[in-house]
Amino acid sequence: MSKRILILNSYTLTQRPAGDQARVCSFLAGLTEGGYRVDYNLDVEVIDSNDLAQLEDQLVRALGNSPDLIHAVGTPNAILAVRLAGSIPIVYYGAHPEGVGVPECSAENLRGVRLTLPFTSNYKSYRFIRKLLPTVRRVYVPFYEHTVFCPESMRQKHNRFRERTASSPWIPMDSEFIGYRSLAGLNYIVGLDYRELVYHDAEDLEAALGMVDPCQAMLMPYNDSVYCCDAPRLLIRFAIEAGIPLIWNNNPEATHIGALAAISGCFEEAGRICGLQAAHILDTGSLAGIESRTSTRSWSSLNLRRAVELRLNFSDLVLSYFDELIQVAGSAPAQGG
Amino acid sequence: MCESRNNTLEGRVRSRFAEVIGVSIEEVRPDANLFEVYHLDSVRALKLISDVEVEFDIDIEQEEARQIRTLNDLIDLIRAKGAEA
Repeated sequence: MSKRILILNSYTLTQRPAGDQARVCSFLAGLTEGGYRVDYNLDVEVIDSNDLAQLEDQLVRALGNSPDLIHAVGTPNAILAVRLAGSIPIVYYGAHPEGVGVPECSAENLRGVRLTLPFTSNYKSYRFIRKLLPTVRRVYVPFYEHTVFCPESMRQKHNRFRERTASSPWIPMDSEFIGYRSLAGLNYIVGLDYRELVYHDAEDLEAALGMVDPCQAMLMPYNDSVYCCDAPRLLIRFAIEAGIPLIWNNNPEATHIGALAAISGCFEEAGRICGLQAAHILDTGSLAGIESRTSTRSWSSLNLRRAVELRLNFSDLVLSYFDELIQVAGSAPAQGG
Repeated sequence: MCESRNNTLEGRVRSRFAEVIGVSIEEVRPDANLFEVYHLDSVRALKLISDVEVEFDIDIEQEEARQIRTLNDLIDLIRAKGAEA
């Protein structure tokens, strides 16, 4: 008798169907390794959306089909599944910068892989940015306020900063209102100036991007911005028009829509581990004996076309850092899912 | 005299440290405890280590960094790793 699996997939930036994406493929590969094959002894339903409200609606509907297991891609999706799926086993992979989402992802029916965001996990990794972009002096990092990656305390700090400062909503690194102090510290350590934004919606982001000083600047969004409809397109468009590099943290697809670089956890490894864990759970009907794991492996992509447009030249040593070298012009990312 | 001192390994390390904590190089004593005398915090300590690693093209392990109490300790470590001014 077939087992039924529900996949909650997000972070899609390209038009590529979910079934062709590394995130879904690697999970299915892990399941196959564990003895479960689609259309043989496995039915898979994929919900693919970057809109948390839409994901929630579709998850509620799909739970009516009584899945045996849920696979959640990303911390926000895992939290959604924990909240709505009752006791159905969940396997996930996702990041927890400064511990965000850890309590929610400690549910008894959840296992998986914690990604360490290798690029920004320590100063030695992050210092690579000075080799990649030696002229950059300032890093702008936007956070969308409606995901777990912007905790309430951070949202309030940014609101207070905006109330007190009539000009730019980008908070300087030495401000008491900074949310991600570790990220500010990391930039200070490697000799970069950090600017942090919490934005309400795409319109707010667009206005804030208009206040970025492009001189010696770069943008470094994370995947929370994928959940804001139109934010990825705005970020990429701004980077191209302003002539500044954009490095997307933790989404390998970003170079395929025009980012200069994408430095990520290894989704293929995480997906495969989740697939193996899922197979074990389906075999035994229990999560006993399965421990959540931590993945420190990275995967990175460099867009050489953007490099040429930005007049960047890289040494062989710098190029050898990347797992993938591509040449792609900027394009409109997938909308909302 | 300051010029020539700054070109020595000790001078370069003192100069880096002075920049990190925001004092003049003359105020920096290589034998002073960095944490007790200059109130070096963990972020600035990592900034110093990172700057030194880049300047002297060396790698300092976390455990080695933990042992450092004075600039002389750091200078000795840099020398032990084969770096010279």
